[in-house]
Amino acid sequence: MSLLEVDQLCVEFSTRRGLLKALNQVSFDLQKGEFLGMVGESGAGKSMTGNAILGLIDAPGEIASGDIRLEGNSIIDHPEKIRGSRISMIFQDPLSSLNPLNTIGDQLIETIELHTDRRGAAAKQRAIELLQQIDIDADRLEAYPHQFSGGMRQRVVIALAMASEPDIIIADEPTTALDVSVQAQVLDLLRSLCQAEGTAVILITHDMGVIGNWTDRVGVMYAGSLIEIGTTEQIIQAPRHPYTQGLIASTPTMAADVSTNLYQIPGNMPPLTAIPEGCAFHPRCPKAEQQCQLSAPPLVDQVACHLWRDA
Amino acid sequence: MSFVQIQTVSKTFTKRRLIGKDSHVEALKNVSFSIQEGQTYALVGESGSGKSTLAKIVVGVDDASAGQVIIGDNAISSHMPLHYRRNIQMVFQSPYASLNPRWRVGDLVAEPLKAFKLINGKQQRRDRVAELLEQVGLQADDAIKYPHQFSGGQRQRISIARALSSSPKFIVCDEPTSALDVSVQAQVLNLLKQLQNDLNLTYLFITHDLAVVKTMAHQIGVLRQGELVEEQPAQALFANPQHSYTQNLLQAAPVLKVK
Repeated sequence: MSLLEVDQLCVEFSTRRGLLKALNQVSFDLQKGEFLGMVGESGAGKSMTGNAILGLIDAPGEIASGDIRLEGNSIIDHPEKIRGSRISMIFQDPLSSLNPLNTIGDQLIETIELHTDRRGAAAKQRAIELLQQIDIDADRLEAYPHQFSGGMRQRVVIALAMASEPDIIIADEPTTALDVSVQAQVLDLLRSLCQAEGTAVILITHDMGVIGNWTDRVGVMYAGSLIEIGTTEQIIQAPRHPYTQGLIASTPTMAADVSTNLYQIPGNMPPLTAIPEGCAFHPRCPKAEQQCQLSAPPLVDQVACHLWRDA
Repeated sequence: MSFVQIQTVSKTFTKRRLIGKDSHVEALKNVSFSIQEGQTYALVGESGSGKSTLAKIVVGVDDASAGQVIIGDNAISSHMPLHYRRNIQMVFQSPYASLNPRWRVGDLVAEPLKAFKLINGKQQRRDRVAELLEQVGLQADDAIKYPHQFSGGQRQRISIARALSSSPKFIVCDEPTSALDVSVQAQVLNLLKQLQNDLNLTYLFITHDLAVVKTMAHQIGVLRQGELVEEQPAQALFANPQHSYTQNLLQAAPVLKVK
């Protein structure tokens, strides 16, 4: 059985301009200890997927249909029972996820006492262990967030996410605010800690380079739908969906130089209020056929594209 | 011939204290390089390395503490004459922050034309704006719209049209695509390259993304804590980085390896 199953998940927002489908029939699963990447452009639904799993969708949004199961048990009715304890999260900006008025020691101990059986000295001991795991000296327990650099802060946030010994960590653009060399350190650390503890990670990013270097499996999202999912190797070396192909071709690589132009996907992603009929990608798709305008292709055999159905 | 020359530029910021000694921060230390006409010089470095301080000095917003910047035949400073400035323009990182939301696109793009008194007739100005918008892949009718009616990539096109309106020879691009999605980034980078070919523009391209540098730059300089630690033609730098800091940067860069 998979650790986490997201099954035909639909999230809708009723707005004055009509019903907005933020997530449309998203299905995927996550195995224990796996590093799953979620990639897509802004507004594709990556963060919405993470928020839905954590039960963080506020009115007027709601989970309209579908289910999310953790070890076979549905969690959509009582997300507060698993949020922070069995599934924890790491956000983009480490400064706004830490309380500036408390020492990091207090914040770690609070989290440990809230989510585990450790109290007092035992909780403090665990906080020291966590700091050591993220390569920060134990005497920095008394330090405040502003006394750390950006990379160190994000490492503290990782320690906080690990403090409850969760099964899954959802990391939403955890390194977008950091420099490249620090980004590499933070992602390496997250990966090694999770491998050691057997924690699964959903890494949400828009950076194909991050996906290629740090994930085991990747889901590609477009306009609220999961359009392709597969191992990182498959997705990057042999993408099947024309959007994934375009996304990879338009990413600058070391193979290019000044004389070559990058591949451009024509047009822009449609707003969620105006998703085209049929396949949402067909107006931009170089390979679109008539049936692409008529019906939306479901995700079958890990890709949602009519062209792969016939082949 | 080199069109832009940056000669031993240093910049020191002084923090004055009421009690005790003033403290100094050396943001740039003896930085020198030159850019050939019609080429792109990419300046790479992490946050705090002095990239943006240098950009401010090069466009004459801020003055160097020592050294000088020469563009064409003109020495650049914050009090240089107005007609020097029209040759130098800038494209900023965030197209959300750099366009006034209360101005129509046509007025935004026409602003340099007015400021430098380049075209005085209203109708002529309107024609020039239409021409500029078409040059960057937008439509002439877009002039009456407001920035919020455009996507991020389209807004960056508006910023580029505005930068082009005074017919500059030199444009400083400060992280022009880091706020954009990949597929849109490709569109904007290709546009910048095409404009360089068509108009013989010289670019100073500031970024931290090495893969972007690879597709844009002829020459690359690596800035670290205010010092230019390495400078090489693009091909050579990627093939054979000399400085250990450059090697670390290249190693850390999450570059997609497609076989």
